[in-house]
Amino acid sequence: MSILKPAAALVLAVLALAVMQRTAPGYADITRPITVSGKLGERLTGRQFDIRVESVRLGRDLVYEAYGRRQTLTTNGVWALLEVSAEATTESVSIIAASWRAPNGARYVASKRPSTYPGMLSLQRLEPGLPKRGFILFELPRDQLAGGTVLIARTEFAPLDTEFAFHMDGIDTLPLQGELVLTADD
Amino acid sequence: MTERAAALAPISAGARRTRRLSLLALPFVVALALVVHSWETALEWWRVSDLVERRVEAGQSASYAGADWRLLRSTRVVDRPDGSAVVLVEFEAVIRDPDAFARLPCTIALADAEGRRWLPSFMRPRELRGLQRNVAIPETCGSVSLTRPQAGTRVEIAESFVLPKESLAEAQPMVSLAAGRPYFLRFEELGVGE
Repeated sequence: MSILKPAAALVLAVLALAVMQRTAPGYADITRPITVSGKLGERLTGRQFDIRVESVRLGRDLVYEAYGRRQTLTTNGVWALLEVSAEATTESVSIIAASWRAPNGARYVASKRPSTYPGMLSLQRLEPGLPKRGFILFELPRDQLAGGTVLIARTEFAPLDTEFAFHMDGIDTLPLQGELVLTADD
Repeated sequence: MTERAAALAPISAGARRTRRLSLLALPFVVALALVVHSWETALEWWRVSDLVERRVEAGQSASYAGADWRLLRSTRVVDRPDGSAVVLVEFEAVIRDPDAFARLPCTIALADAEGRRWLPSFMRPRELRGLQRNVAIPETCGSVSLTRPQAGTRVEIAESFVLPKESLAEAQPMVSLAAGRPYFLRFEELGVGE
């Protein structure tokens, strides 16, 4: 009886320490971005800017004009073109980090292939009081569209900063265009 | 003495005093540990933040971060179709301490009463041509600092901004240099009108 009590206390203490060790968050978890979630068409507000994904178009080829030349970009998968409006809230800011979190867990970083097209959101500077429209483009496998989530942040590594998560529900039901044409009006 | 008896034995007055002192000291020790661990981070935050404003009246100059600063002029260069205006803000700086002046980063911004800040933006070449005077590509604060001007030198610094037309009336230029932080200068008048 006299040994049982301290032994039980020791086992409990060891168990508690093991649980604490297993569940202690790492540095990356402690400083991870703060997620603000929403869906297509919803305006979300973060620390430095607010943003809305207004529409999505899908296509096999991407066609645009830059410096007087028509450019065509092909893909083995699908182009997903997001039209976005955004506005800085407190200070001029650029948004350079966007990725597609696929249902299989993979992350697809926004395509930089049409790097000369000035309408891309990553090439624009957001100013307080001046809402802007721009595009974010993803090159994705067809089977990773449904259930995908678009993650948008100011930078690739944004500790304790806002990361927007837009759930792309119903995107797989959108029509797949042969040519996705970006025009100056876009 | 059995174990139970030992456990129930009265605690000595000395041990009670030690325990009480330890408990009293605990909050101070925890606070001290926090200070020791976060001291360098707090100091770094203090050095890089714009925390204390020094107002400069219209037409006056102010000594700050190794130079005497004066707002020369603000020019509304052009209005854009999206409701924004491009503004060129020009300063004069007479260098007093070259080392302090050359310490980067240097930030010039426009700020309004709500705390919104517009950072320098590139002006399109055709907008620069819209200025009705002969202006070379403006020397920015960063590029002037990199030339390490000597004491007594007078330099002109210009930055361009894009901001909503309705914000022109209350936007004020601010200057913040590494050697001057946490202080920063806020010039009282932009003077380009709405």
